[in-house]
Amino acid sequence: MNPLASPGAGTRILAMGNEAVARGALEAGLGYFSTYPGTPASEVGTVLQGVRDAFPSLYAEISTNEHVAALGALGASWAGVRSMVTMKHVGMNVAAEPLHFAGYTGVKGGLVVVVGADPGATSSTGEQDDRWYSLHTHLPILEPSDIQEAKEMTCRAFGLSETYDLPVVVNAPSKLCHNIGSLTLGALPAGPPARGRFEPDPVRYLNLFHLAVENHGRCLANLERLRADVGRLGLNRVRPGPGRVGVITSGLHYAYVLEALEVLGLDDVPVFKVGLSYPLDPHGVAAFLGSVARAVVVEELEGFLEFQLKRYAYDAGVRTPVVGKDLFPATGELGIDEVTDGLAEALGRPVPAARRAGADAWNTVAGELPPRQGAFCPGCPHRATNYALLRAAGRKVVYAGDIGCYTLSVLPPFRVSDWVTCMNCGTGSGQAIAQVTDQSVVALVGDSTFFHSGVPSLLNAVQNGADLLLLILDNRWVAMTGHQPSPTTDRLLDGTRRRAVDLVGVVKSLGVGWVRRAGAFDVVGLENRIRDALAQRGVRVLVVEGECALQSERRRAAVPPDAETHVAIDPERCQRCHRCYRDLACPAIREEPGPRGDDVYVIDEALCQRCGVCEALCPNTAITRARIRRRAAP
Amino acid sequence: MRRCDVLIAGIGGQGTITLGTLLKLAALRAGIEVTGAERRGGAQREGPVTSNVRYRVPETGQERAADPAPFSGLIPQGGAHLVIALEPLEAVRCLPWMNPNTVVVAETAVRVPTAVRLGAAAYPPVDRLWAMIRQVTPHLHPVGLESLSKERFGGLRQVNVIALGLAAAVGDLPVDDDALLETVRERLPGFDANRDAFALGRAAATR
Repeated sequence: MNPLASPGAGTRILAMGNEAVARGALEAGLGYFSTYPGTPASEVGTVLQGVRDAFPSLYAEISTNEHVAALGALGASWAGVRSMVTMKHVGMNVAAEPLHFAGYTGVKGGLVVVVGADPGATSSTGEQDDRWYSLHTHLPILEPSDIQEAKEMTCRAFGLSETYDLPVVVNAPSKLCHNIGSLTLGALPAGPPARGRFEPDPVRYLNLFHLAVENHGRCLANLERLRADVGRLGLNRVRPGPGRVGVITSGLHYAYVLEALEVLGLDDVPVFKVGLSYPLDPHGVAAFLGSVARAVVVEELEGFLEFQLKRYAYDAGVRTPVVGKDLFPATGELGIDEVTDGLAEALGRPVPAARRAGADAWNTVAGELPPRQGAFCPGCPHRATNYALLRAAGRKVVYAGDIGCYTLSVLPPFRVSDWVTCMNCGTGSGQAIAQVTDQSVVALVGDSTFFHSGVPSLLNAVQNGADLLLLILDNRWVAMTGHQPSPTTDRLLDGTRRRAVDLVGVVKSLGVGWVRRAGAFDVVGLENRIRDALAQRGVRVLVVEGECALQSERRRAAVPPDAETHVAIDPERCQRCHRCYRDLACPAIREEPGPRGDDVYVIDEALCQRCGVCEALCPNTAITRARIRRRAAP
Repeated sequence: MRRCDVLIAGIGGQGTITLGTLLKLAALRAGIEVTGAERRGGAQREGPVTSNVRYRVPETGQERAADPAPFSGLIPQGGAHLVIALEPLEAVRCLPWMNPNTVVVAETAVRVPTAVRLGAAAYPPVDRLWAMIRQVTPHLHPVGLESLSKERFGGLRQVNVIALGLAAAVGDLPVDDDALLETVRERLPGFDANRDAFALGRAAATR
């Protein structure tokens, strides 16, 4: 059994921050869960989808997008069921409209919104701090500082939501979502959550005219009730100390601050740990500021805590100097070393020299090292599509890329995405460029992103007669975020058939006149299909089919074929035209010193996925495959 | 309280995070507090991936605190006791976390970044990379993990277990071989080969 479904209260397991969030929700009696996957928050959904056998009364869905997911969780809450919706930080932009009404209607079953933040944008197109949303959605925010607290706070958030009649946000940055460590489990509820029942409540749910104004007032009153109670809820904590300079921080940065103070050899610094970062406890922060001569606010991005606490200090007549964003940058991730350096400066205590030896050495050699970028996996259908697309369309067209694994198309050697902003940015902005220029526009979108937000844009292009070629790269999975099923997933990993959406049918139904399909791995055929499409005008859609190689490989491990194929480059036939090595740039193709002292290209059998693309594109028929028997066990 | 911080570095697809998870599960088995953050980016191949493994071992006779203070998932600069690098360039990228006592276990087989493949950058000679590390710590153990695995097991499946055996031999880990091997048995398929791989890694340390 999945240890996260274990009934054993007190059991210690190894869990990821995201998994701890999922467990906390299960301990609170979660009845409804919805999400659109997005790094770093995806694994919350992986857990809750995976434990449905142990929790048959839990409804857990992967929604079409965050907007739908948030509306779903709100509806289930109105029906009296404890509900949770998770998303990555930029997903909140998509969910923003329903979340702005959730405070107006209030909740019936506790409603928790989990946001995975990505300061440093290591897997995102932006690093926005979603905490600022709460200044107008008025949703309270909890910020756990470690894995254990991620579970405890998520569990508690449901009760807080019901008490204060507001959805509650749990905000966790990527370094907590993807922190793996020991977690002590709590008790699960004695029985399954009861079925919900929706009771109409016209005053709360019909936000029209004066009722909307009244509901806005009730939302603010609920918030004030919470603001008055915060000091008594035990969500914030002061670590006392006799020092004259105090630190105020929240979430993950509490752990960084404690460790930084240890590195700096300081044990007398008082620390105010904020657990509820919206609304801040006005009396608590004013009292803490009043007790020190100077305060340092340690937080990431644009200074949400500092913004609030300066207001409260002003109201309370406290004039203690506060430093925050003039010390710590407003962009990028604030890790343990940035916190240590900042506190060293603020507290006048240098970082011990022994700690710097490695960093100093790094600074002298870093310039000698080549950068390393991500690449498509060996066997990835997107590599083949990029290759064929460049062969057919060259560098003279405008490339409108989008969000997904194929975002890697922006990198060399392909560089077939001229912008990347948000979901559906390719078709969305590409059609406008086609309307106002004489350039040919080719847009790329994955199956999941197309269903997330691409459908209205394609319809828009048809309705307004745009001149656009759209390639829908159907790899059958939401691959980038950990292989959640997409609407086009037709076979699961154990070989089971699944009812998939007819993608070509959907596209035709939108009124697209030219719709064709092609196989990604047949690069030559694909190139010809793209040439055909480029010769036409109007809205054209080419559905490029090729399953994610990681998933088909996993299925093959579970459902093995009777023989394997072996792909190799014949050095006698290879003319070193570089098409496979540089233009396709598959990691399974390497350059090695050959027997005659000159370099040759070889295929690393251990990495090769036998997709056959290099074989198809080689102009010298130097790449061949043969059936081989599996090597006997040693 | 004894601490031991292990930084693991590799590239997407090499099993860096799985290796970290094995080291953490072994701690749980031994009753040791453990945590550590990862940098995983998307599910992409070939990009740098790191995993922090941070142990907190109570001194003999010391009870685990009822409410232990949180400890962060990130190893501070200069704080790594052990670095396990699955690629030479990625070993050098761990320099900021090394100090003169840091033990470094590093794969010798090169994975060429795309920029080098395209001729836009050069991959420094591997000996030059080792010299960069030796500027900070003399405790460097370069081993051909991939070639050992291919030679003995006919593929790359055992690379990380060989690395684990090597780390156990030279890393002064707070988890013993039994805890590591039991974890491997529980989590990975093909225990007989993995037990041999672990021993092969241990033996590689003394070569």
